[in-house]
Formats: sequence, structure tokens, C-alpha cells
Amino acid sequence: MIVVRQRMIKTNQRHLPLGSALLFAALLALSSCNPTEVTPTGSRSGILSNKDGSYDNMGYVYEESPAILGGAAVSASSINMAPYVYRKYPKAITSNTILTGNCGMNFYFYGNYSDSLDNCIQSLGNHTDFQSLPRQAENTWMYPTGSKEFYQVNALYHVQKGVDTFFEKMAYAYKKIHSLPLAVPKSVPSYLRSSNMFWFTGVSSLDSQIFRNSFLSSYSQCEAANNASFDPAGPSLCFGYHPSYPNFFFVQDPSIIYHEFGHAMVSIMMNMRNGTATETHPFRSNLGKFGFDEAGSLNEGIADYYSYVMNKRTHIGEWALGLYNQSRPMSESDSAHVPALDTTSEGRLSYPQYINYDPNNPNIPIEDVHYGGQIVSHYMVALTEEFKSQCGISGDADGGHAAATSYMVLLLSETLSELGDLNAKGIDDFTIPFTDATYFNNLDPTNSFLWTQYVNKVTYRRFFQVFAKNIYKYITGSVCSGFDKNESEKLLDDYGLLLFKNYNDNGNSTKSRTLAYTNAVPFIPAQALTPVSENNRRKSVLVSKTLLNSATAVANSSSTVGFYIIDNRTDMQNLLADLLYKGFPVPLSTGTAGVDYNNGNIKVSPGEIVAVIPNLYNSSNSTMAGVHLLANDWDHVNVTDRTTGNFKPCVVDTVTTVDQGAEAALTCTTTETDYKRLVKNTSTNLFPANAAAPVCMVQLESGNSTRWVSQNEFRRKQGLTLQDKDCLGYSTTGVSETDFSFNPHECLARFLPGASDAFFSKINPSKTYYETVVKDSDSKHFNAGNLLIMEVNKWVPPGTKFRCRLRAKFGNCSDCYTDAANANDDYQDSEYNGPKPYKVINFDFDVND
Amino acid sequence: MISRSKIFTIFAVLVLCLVWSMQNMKKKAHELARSSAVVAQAVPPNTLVFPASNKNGREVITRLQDKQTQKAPSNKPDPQWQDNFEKILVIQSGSKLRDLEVKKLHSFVWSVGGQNLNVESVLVSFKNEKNESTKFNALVDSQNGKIIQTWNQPVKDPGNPRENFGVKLDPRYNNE
Repeated sequence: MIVVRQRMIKTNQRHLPLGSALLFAALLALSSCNPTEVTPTGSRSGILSNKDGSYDNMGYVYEESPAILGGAAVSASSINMAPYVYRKYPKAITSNTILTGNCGMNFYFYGNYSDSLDNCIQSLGNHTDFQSLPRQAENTWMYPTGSKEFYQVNALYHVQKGVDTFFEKMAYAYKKIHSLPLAVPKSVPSYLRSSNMFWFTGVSSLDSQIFRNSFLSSYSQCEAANNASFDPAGPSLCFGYHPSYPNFFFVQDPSIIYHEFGHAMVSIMMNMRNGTATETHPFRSNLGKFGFDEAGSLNEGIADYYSYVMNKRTHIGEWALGLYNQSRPMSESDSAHVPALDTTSEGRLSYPQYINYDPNNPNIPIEDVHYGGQIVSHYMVALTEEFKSQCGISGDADGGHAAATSYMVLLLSETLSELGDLNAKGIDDFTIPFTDATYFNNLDPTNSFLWTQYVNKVTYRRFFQVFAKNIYKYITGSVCSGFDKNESEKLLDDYGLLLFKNYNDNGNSTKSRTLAYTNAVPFIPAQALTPVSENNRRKSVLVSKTLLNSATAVANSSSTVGFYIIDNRTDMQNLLADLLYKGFPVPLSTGTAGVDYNNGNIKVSPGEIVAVIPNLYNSSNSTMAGVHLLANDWDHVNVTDRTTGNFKPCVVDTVTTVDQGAEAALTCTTTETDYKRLVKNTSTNLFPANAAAPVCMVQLESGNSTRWVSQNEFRRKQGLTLQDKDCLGYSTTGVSETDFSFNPHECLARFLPGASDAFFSKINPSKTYYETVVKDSDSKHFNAGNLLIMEVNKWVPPGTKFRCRLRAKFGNCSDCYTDAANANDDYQDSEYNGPKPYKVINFDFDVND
Repeated sequence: MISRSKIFTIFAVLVLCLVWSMQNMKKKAHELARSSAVVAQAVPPNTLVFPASNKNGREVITRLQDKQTQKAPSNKPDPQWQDNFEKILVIQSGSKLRDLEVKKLHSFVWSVGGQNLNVESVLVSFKNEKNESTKFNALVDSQNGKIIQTWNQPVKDPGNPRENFGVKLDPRYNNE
């Protein structure tokens, strides 16, 4: 028998008001009249009669989880929900005739307008249910506690509460944002109502082309074991079960329901700018990938925070996660924390020190988005508390909770809608997007997905820079001048999150510093760059990128390598299958490489699919945090022949020199502002003069010298006689023998699309990543987010030498984001297509037999 | 004879009138803008302007005046794209996929790294060997089924994050 034991529960009990305790006592007394739990579906045992219609549209609900209402001794193995349902006072569920909920949001834009979406939520049991539950003949939703229908009703009750609260706060945010003068640049679009991007609907007539459904489905007893999830492609929420405890379900814990809806809310806010009344961008922005990254940690932290918005408790998952000993606090005052943490400036849960901290198991680090996200949830709770105390709202009946959390939703919607902007405009004209082909965010509409998800993905630095800008603009500048810039920066610094030198609020175009907001929208004047006050930076330490290297570059130990290779067939097959199950296909070449060639010799061999894990080394005296490594195509070559696309690599570091065939002048002196791949143009039959090239080059011997060349040049000059169809990534069907997106410069070795970037939580001073994170972890596993996946052509001759030019930057980097040559303004988006923001990490390898 | 002070007064009144009328015009213009905004907001959300179509009836997505996508696509749609696409998924899964469903949502022309291609936007759903469902969206080459982009991946919250997947370091790497 498992007994849920959580230190936090005791804390909560201390904070429970007397009224709640009395109510719970009354609940227990009442429920004792009906101790029977799982009454079979359809049974009417103990159901209130609704003859006079006073219980119309009502159902039995539990307001909190058994762990909160019942305390630490409640057992998951014999859970009975009856004591937690106040049967005498059922709650309103829905007035619809089927078990669905409605949504509505008010838009104040020079007058009040509202929009409603009927049946925007559908509550089902599991994926075999296709029909919504009909209202009972007596017009109620009252079902026996513990029945399948009971959980469906409860899921709808709590999801609807989450949705209503979100729309209430979004209505506040929208009104505040659009009440500011036109001259203030804004991100949440004024046309949000006509675009319908405030829900999963988009342009009405295109709904079926964008979403599977225009309503959010909730599966209260989903088929997923040990899991809850949000599925944006549904869109749906899934609340799973524990295989060993037949009466235990994640849906029994409302904090988990709010958390999962929090992910849905993030998805909505990330995509608010991605549609208009007439068209929708074909992609949607995600916040997070597979394995560990800071975007995913932000998503988890915000989802945890939403549970606090809903129930005011600074702890999540006491019941559902408590069963696994994995519930999470959201305040340093929580007794679940180690004693070193408290709510003083020194005691905050700061980045990066606590990025891998698990309060349930503090001695064993874990690199995981949920635990990494605790820094975000703790900061957000602390900021909310600051608003409550400093914005004149503490006298509100709820202590200012509703008002302060509305400020937070304002900040989140402005921040996330800017970060996830795939139309790349950044700002708008009065009621519609401006029409110029000028972009202020995420490069341009064609490449914005690549930029926002990979090249310049959302990190703690990027998120909190935009968030701080919005605090300054909307909170200090509008709703609460008492919370000033210094206080904002100090709180960020308490959490180690003051990672930027300015607010990047001057509005330069992504491709030209001479173009500003005012060029696209004349009523928005030129914006000044707001610097961070350096006096406020005490805990947020910035480190130079020059001090990041691969381990071999500094270590003399023969047992330390710069890159780990995993080529075990079973491990790789399982990894690929797991990635696909996470929704990340990494398209493998057919006929030229495959796991069948994997020989498990921890070297790179012909035909193999291998995982490459860079073992990065930090030679500084401070921790490096949020290290992001890219292996995607970038502008690092000078194309010398447009008929073949052959190139000379640019001199971007001291490793590849002019003597080795590199070029220091010509196109190598600038970075291409348009992102183009090195693929032949079918109309001109030429390769582009400037293009982003694959990262891996080959060493070609000619006479007594060697030089680094493109894979295309190597395969022709080294006598391999490989045709295009024998190259990696080549694919045709009957209609044409040409693959128009084929890149011949990755014919021999390539990092797989979708697995060409890796993320590392932190690297301690004078340590490698392995020593910092993996060595002390319980499983000694590398996180899936640490891996780059590469495939090697089976026709590559053993002994062939490759050099892959990877690029790294990290969150607390002092010289990865700002351009000293431009008054420390942030780099333009297009500069992330080149070497300037990055440290180039060379991955050299020989192909072995 | 009109005195200088009278001339000044008349001039000042004229200037004031001019300023007032300009401000009034500005105010009216702003009110007009407001009212048109309100009209714009009041337009039913399902008022849809379909993007331009090319000769084959395939929608050319001109994302907010992105001129690049005006060029003719390089590839030709082939019905075999779906078989190829499904094969790619099956290979990666190690044949562990169950109930694979590829639902075509939308066909259009899209610029991929500087190349214009006919593409299919699809919704993929399947189950793994544990009967757990997964869905995501993908953009696929209409000719050969190659995956161009994927998005809308699920956010999974395991009860125990310590059981999340990863890879173990080969013991031959001695890092102690």
C-alpha cells in the first residue's frame, strides 16, 4: 500500500483557513453517510433528486485533490473520492445538452466587443470515446463518485475554470495593452478577435486545415500510463493513470488539470500573432523540444505557475505527483526545500545554481524541464507577491491575487506572442499587420520557424529580456509605477536571470540596422535602447564565450574525450523510436545508411547512424548556463563555383586556416541576411552565390597539401563516382528523378534535420559537461536533448577525415548577444546566420572501418 | 487706419482658428480611424479572403507579401508522397508504429531554404507499442514525401521525470 507523504501538505494544512477546515469536517461527516465509492456506471445510488429543477446543469465535484482535502495519510491504493465531494451542494457544470463547455472573451478596443465560442471544450473519458456525454434526463450532471462520467464532469469543471480565468485575465491584458497610445509598440495584436487566435480556431473557414478540431478535448481517463499531457495537434489534454493503482488517476488532482491547461494557454499565447482575419501561418510555434532545453523549462514553469493562479497554493501535484515523490514547490518558503533556500535575495532559487535541483532528492541532480522550470515558477510567484504588496491591491478581498495574476497574464501574453511570432512583423499597424516586407522578429516569415525553434530559440535569457522590457513598459510605465525598473532588475538578479545588458527595445529590423519600427508604422516613433543598470547585476554572472571549448582542447587526460559517440544498434534504434513517439521524426536516408550498419565500436563507421554528444569544457571561474549547440546549415563558406556549389570554408577561427584552403575575404567578410540553403536553383541551374552550407567538410589531399572542401567536391575529385541517388538525403518517386531539395554538400555525412541542435543545462567552472551533470546523476544517462544525431554514407572510404563546424552560445554569455561595434545593441536576427554570436566548436573525426 | 494692435489681434484670432480647425480635423480623422477600427473589429471573423491560386488550383501562400513565394515550384506532386512519408516514419520507429494515420490538411506552395516546393500539410497520429497515442503536424514534399518541418509536438508530463528517456554512456568511456 502506498501512502502519499509530502512535506508540503503539512505546510498547506497550516495555511488552510479555519473555514476550510470546518467545511472539510462537514464534508467528511456528510460523506460518511455514503461510504460506497465506485458505484457502477448508470447507477443512481445517492444521487440528489432534481424534481424542482434546482439542480439543473449541476454535478458533483471535488474542488481539491485528496492530498489537500484528506492530508498525508490518504492512500492511493484504496482511494475513495466520496469524502472529497460535497454532495449536498453540487456545482454548475454546463448548460449545454452535451458535456461541453463554452468560451467567451471581452475585447475592449475603442469600445466593448465580445466573442463567444460555443462548445470550445469537450470532455471525454478516453480516446475510444467519440460522442460527448449527454445531459441526464433530470437535466443534471450528477454521477456516482468514482464513475467514468464523474471524472469527465470534474475534468470539464476544472478545465472550464481554467479557461474562464484565462479569458478574464486576457480581457484585462488586451484592454490595458490597447489603451496605451498608438505610439507604444505592442505585440498582442489588436485584431486578435477577428483572427480568432485567442483559441484553437484560427481563420474559421480554414480550421480543418490548421487544427484537427476547433475545440479542446479533455480525456479524463486517458490511456497514458504514469503521464499527463497537452497535445497541441489535437488539441487535447490527457490525464493518465498508474498501472499499479486501479483507482488512482491524474485527473483527481486539479492542480495537474490547471498545469496541463497552462500548457494549452502557453500554446495560444505563443501563436497569437500567427494569424489574421484572412490568413494563418502554416506552422505554429512550440515552446520546448524533446529532452531538456530552457524553452521547455519555461513552458513547465509557466504551467506550474498557472496552478498557483488558480488555487493560490505555492505547490503543485501533491496528490498526482506525490505518488511518485515528485511534487514541486513554487516558493522558497516551502518546507520541501533545502534549508539554504529562503525568500531573501541571497536565498532565492537562482539560475544556474539550482537548474538541476530536485527538492525531493536534492543530492542527486536531474536535468529535466520540470525541475529546471522551478526557477521560472518561483520567480513568477515572487513577482506576483511583489505586485500584491507594491501596486495598491493588497486591500482587495483576495489580497490582490486576481489583480496581480492579471498583470502576469498581460506580461506573459505580450512576451510569448512576441517570441512565437512566425509572421515576423513584431508590431502592427492600427488594426491590421503593416504591409511592408520589413521584419522585426524571427528573421522573416519563411524562416521564422527555424529561427524561433532552433537558431535563436527561446532561452531564459531571451524570454526574460522581453519579459523585463514588458514589465518596464506595462507595469512600471502604466499599471503600477511603484514597481520600478530597479526593483524589477533586482528581483530578476536575485534569481540569476538578469542575463542581458539592455532591453533590446529599440526596434531594429532583423536584417538592417537602419530600418526601425517607424519605417514600417509611421505613428510608432524611433525607440531608445534601455540599458540594464549594472549596479543591479550581483548574482547574474556573465562569462565570455572564448572560455568554452570541447574537452580535448584543454584536457590532457586520455580518458577525457571531446565528443562521445554512441553507435550501439539497440540504443540508437530505441532512441529513434522514442524521438518519433515524442513527435520528432528525424528523416533517415534509405539505402545509404541505417542502424543495421551500427557496429557499436564507439567510432564513426560507414553507414552508421550515431549519436554525437559534445563534451564541452568551461575554462572560466564561473558556471556557464544554458549552452546551446547548433549543427544546422549556416553562412560559413565562400561559394567558388556556382555550377557545382563547391566552396572554400571561411576563416571563422584559428583552426581552419587559409593554408588549409580557407577563405578570409570575399563573401566571408559579411553574413548573408537571407537564409538560403546551398541547393541548386532549378530555373537557373546554378547554386546561390551566397548560402548557408552544411556544417561538415571533408579533407581532400591534393599533391603534398590537404585542404578542407565541400562533400560534393570530395565525392567527385576523390574518385568515389557516387551519383546523387547514392547520397544521403536523396529521395525520388516516379514523377521525376530529381530531388529538388537535395543538398549534394551533405552527401557523405550529415546531421539529421530535427536532431541538429543540442542543449546543456550548465557547465561548472573548470569542468566538463559530463563532470558537471552526468557523473553525479543516478542513472548516468545523457538526456535526449544533449544529443546530435548524424548519419554517415555507407560508401565513405575508411580513413576519410571530416570537420564539422558546430556553433555554441550560452545564456549567461557576455559576448554572444551584443555587438560592441554597435553600442552594445543586440545582434540582428540575420547575424545568427553567421559566426559572430557564437563560439565555433570543431568536431573532427575519421571514418573507421 | 487699422492699428498695429488690431492687426495683431486679427492675426492671432486667425492663427487660433487655424490651429483649432487643424486640431478638429485631426480629431475627426482619429475618430474616423477609431470607427473604422470598430467596423474592422465588428466584421464577422469568418470573412475570409482566399489567397491566390496558381494554375493547378494549388494555393500559393503569400505570407504577408513575402515575394519569394511568387516563383514557380520546382517539384511536381506525386500521389506516392504519402507512401514515402509513411515509410520514413516506419523506418524510424523500428516497425513499432500502430494505427498510423496521415490526414492531409492542406496543399500549397512554400519556400524551403530558398526553393519553392509543392507541399502537403498533414496531421500524423499513431500509437506506440504501449498503446499510447501521439499526434503532430508535418509539412511534407508533395513529390517525394520528404519531411520539411514538424510542429505541434505533445508536451508530456511524466509522473516521474527521472524515468525520462536518454542514453547511457558506453562503459568504454572511462571518465572517472
